[in-house]
Amino acid sequence: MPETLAQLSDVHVHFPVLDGMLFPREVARVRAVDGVSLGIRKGEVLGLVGESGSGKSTTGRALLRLQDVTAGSVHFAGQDITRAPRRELQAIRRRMTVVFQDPEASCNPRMRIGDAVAEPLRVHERLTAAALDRKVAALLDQVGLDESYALRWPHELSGGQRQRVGIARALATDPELIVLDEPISALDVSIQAQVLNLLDDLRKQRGLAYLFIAHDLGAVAHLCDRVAVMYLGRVVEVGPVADVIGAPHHPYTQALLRSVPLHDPQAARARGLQVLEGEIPSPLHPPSGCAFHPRCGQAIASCRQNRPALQAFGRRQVACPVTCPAATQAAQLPIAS
Amino acid sequence: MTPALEVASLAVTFAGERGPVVAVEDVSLRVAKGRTLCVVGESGSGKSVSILATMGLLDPERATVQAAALRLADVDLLALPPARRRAINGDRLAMVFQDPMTSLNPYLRIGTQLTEVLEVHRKSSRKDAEQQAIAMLEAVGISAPHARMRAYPHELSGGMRQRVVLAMALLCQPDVLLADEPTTALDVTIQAQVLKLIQDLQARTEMAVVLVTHDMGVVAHMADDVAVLYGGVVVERAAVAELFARPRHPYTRALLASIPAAEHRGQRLQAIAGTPPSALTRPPGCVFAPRCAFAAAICLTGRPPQEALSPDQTVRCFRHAELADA
Ligand SMILES: Nc1ncnc2c1ncn2[C@@H]1O[C@H](COP(=O)(O)OP(=O)(O)OP(=O)(O)O)[C@@H](O)[C@H]1O
Ligand SMILES: Nc1ncnc2c1ncn2[C@@H]1O[C@H](COP(=O)(O)OP(=O)(O)OP(=O)(O)O)[C@@H](O)[C@H]1O
Ligand SMILES: [Mg+2]
Ligand SMILES: [Mg+2]
Repeated sequence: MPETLAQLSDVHVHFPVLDGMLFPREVARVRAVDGVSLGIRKGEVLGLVGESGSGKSTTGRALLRLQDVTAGSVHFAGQDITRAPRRELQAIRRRMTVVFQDPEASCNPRMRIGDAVAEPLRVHERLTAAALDRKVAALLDQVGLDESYALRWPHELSGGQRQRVGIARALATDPELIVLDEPISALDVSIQAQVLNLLDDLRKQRGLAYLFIAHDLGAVAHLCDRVAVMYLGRVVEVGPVADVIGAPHHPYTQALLRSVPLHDPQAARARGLQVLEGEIPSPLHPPSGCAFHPRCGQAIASCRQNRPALQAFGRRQVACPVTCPAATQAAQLPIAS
Repeated sequence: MTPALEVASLAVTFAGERGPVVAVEDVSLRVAKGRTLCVVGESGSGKSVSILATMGLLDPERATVQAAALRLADVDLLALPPARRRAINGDRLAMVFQDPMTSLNPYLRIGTQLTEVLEVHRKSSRKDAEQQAIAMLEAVGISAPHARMRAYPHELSGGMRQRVVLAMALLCQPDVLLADEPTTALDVTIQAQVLKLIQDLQARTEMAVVLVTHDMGVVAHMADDVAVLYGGVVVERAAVAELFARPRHPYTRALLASIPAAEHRGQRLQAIAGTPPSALTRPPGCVFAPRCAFAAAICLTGRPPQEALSPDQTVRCFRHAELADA
């Protein structure tokens, strides 16, 4: 098995909620990430899905050390970077890059596209002006933008075009791991397909690993080796993508898959939108026990009290003692899919 | 019946450093009361610019907007003085931007921003406005809406910001909602909830919706009609069932074929070869010809005319009849 490239161990990220104008004091805490352990191996694509606000981006930012962790540790290539100082991070940031969820974030409005793509190269590599131009053109070409875009300004680009600029930037320093925070959400399907094929090619050619944060389960199924499902700051299910998406075990994962829109208008009309009932929990006041229990159709009394931990279950790990009781073997369990 | 919104032959050109950029060449959109028109199409095809032009939000110094007609029910938007037009925006005609930070002020608490909308357009009292804002935040699925009113935009996740912006647009119960990818940043469970909210509001208030999306699943659930954009023109328009069952334009076919699905894991996705046309260099013939698997000599001669196949369906392709038989 290839060695682990990046590892989050029991990571917590809490944000204080402040109130009071003159003397702000902490009145509550958002437990954005609440004990997450995830490893990414060399050349592996790990998908990260889950409810909006469940802490996916914060997890990605913690891995990149763009966000300090409240507790837990972060390792990259065998090195503990949990408290690494800026200078050390500089070297890491060329090996581990990011494409942000928000395409605005990767485009400085006062920088031409070509300069934005060249920026990481200027920081990390010494190239002649001509070599730099060639490299920028090649990077733009890889993401389906012709050379003429180098001279344009971010505001002249559509959302999807800006997102591709972000990917070109992330590729510039030849990284080993890219954190992709919804890199294709802003793209139309045909460009999505291009970008997914591109990401797939790059990993095959260069052995790149990705943390692929996404909402599109079709895309996750297509690109990822494993997938982790988050709910309210915790991982509730993680395992090989074919297992988890093919036969979800955690009730939240099951609900997630039921909510995927159908691609056939007649069937879509007939079935309607499947809305997961119940109130969306607040990370300010998480429900007791299993955070999903107030919305779960399969909850039993103990779900209200005990917070389930991830348990190995066949090739995956699931945090649900109801659908995946610890003592049972995977093969014997009838699981609704 | 007069449509709730009618945009006819819209064209938008930006003044660029290296000559004019034709962002929208010929786009017509029409949506009736209580109905939903989904706008899909290539990235950069002019979806957002069309919506912005309809709202009158493009900078007249930089963008030239032309249209044969632009009307909101019986109001001729082209004839309205700018001040009257602004008063309609956010009230009878509301928009959700593709990028939520466009409509959120990073320095103001979201509660302030939400209540302001009602205070300006509805002259609501602060207290009323606050109550309505909280109820709307709850309706779009924001938990602990009371506490969240005090949050600044950067304290919310991407999907939460998107829902705040949607809440802002829905507060005044507009006649027409123009939503530019309102659920793109949301996970599928919350997406379903937000779409359901739009459907419910539509059933109650007969709001007309123009929904820009690239998720064909969202289209399947929401659309009555679909307009497909490519390179600044509407290449096909049809009722949703017809479009999925019998796409007529080669771009629409390619679009439907490129959707990733779990069944096809490991296979290459059917991406459309080539790059989309840049708004600077549009090909002289059919805009899709350079990437079209069915392009023939005729396709390079000029823009194909818009043909009406039925009152609800139009297509712009020289070879559509031939291809439909094949
Ligand atoms: N700087 C911050 N200050 C306070 N709270 C924050 C901050 N950043 C994130 N949060 C909170 O942390 C939680 C998780 O946010 P995060 O952005 O990680 O979610 P996400 O899973 O990426 O959601 P989405 O799918 O909507 O992008 C949310 O409740 C959010 O409001
Ligand atoms: N202010 C501007 N100045 C010059 N060109 C612009 C400007 N705004 C947009 N464009 C160009 O107009 C074209 C249409 O852009 P638009 O944002 O409408 O695309 P879109 O269809 O919404 O794409 P996406 O799906 O990626 O959001 C693009 O080629 C874009 O580069
Ligand atoms: Mg996020
Ligand atoms: Mg757009």
